[in-house]
Amino acid sequence: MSTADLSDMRFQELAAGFALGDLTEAEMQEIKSIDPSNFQSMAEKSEEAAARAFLTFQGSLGNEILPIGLANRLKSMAVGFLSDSELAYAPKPSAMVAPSAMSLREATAWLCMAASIALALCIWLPNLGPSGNKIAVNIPQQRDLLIAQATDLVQSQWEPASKDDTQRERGSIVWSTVTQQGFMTLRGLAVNDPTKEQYQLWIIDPARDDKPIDGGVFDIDNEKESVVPIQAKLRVGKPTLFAITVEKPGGVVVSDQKRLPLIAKVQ
Amino acid sequence: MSTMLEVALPRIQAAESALARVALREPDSLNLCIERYGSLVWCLAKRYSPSQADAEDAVQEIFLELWQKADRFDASLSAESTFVTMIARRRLIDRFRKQARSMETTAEYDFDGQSASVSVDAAELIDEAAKATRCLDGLQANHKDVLRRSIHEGQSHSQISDELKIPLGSVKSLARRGLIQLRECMERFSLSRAGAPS
Repeated sequence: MSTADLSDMRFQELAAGFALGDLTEAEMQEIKSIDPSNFQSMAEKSEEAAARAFLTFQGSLGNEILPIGLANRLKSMAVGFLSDSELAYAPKPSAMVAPSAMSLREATAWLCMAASIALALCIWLPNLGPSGNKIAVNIPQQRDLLIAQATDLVQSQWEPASKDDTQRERGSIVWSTVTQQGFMTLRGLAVNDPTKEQYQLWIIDPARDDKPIDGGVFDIDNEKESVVPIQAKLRVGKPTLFAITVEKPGGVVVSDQKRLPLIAKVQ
Repeated sequence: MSTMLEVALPRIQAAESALARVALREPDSLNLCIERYGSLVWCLAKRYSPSQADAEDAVQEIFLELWQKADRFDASLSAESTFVTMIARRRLIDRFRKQARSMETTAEYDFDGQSASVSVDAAELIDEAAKATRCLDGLQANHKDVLRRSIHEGQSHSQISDELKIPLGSVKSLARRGLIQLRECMERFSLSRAGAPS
């Protein structure tokens, strides 16, 4: 059916309905029979009119600011977005690893380098929040700060998902729903080759829905102890289980859970 | 209006396109985008979402889409805030449709946001708002009221029907006819402006 086959008023009504979001299923089907380019143009004009109307009704420029947790997640997303844009063809950055067992000389050199990086980042990204995943220096301190200050702290111990794995002490996980921040302390997790596979965290929150929340992809380059910040892609409410899977580089949207080294149950 | 212009004047000179900078992937551009439009997007998301958690998810999706589509913004066609609002409304309507057709937004919202002024560029708003205000003022009162409830308050047609005690079909018709008249009026403004001698 061409646009000419529809009455002009009907055509405009459908575009207005599209912009208002009130089309019925039958009307959605009706739209599919219209020349898409004509309809898209009219729909966009209608959407623009609706947008301008909203801003006009808003008038006073509004009086709300973003909740702090959401603002922090957006800033974290922004860092990730820019990193993905800039490093589209480069290897993923390694996990944030704390120096747990190194010589004094190594530690001093590491701290000097870390301080330089921190200073550079402070100048370059003055608005970067504590969840920005490029700051490698203060991760353990950030974790300790969260543990000390969070009033709603969720804590759990990592345990092997397989009974064949007998190593007991695997570290812990802490999470605060109020700040939407959390950290994994991981011990004995095998070093991975980021070009072949990466670890991915999943957060189970049944209060939200039955789909695990992606908690971020990370690497391990030190089997002794690594502290990794959680990068939840969606808001977490009441987590009941955290799980780490091994996935292809970059992670997956849905895990088949074939390789599930660690889980942490929340009591 | 003169007060608004006086307030806006210092910002006209300071105005810069956040989206243009995002399109260039400038390091601080995304934070600028969040600071400038976070409140606007949040206001929209609250009105069109059934819960705070849902609204927060929507805001994340909207900003991701804004950053991805930043290069499509054309300052000669619309104000940046209009572009942001268009993207946000489209995403919210899509989410609403997907989640549940029967879901009703609720007026008893319990948000923990704190009060502060929105930092949307006022200069842009004044120019477009002046036109939109004249067009909205030209609508019949019932058209304008239904549009305000639907577009600004995020009320469903059922809610509007209940509150105004008019049939659902009439609400739909009033909203659509009102929006058509609004669009036509704005197009006339654009045409008259384009044809006007400088």
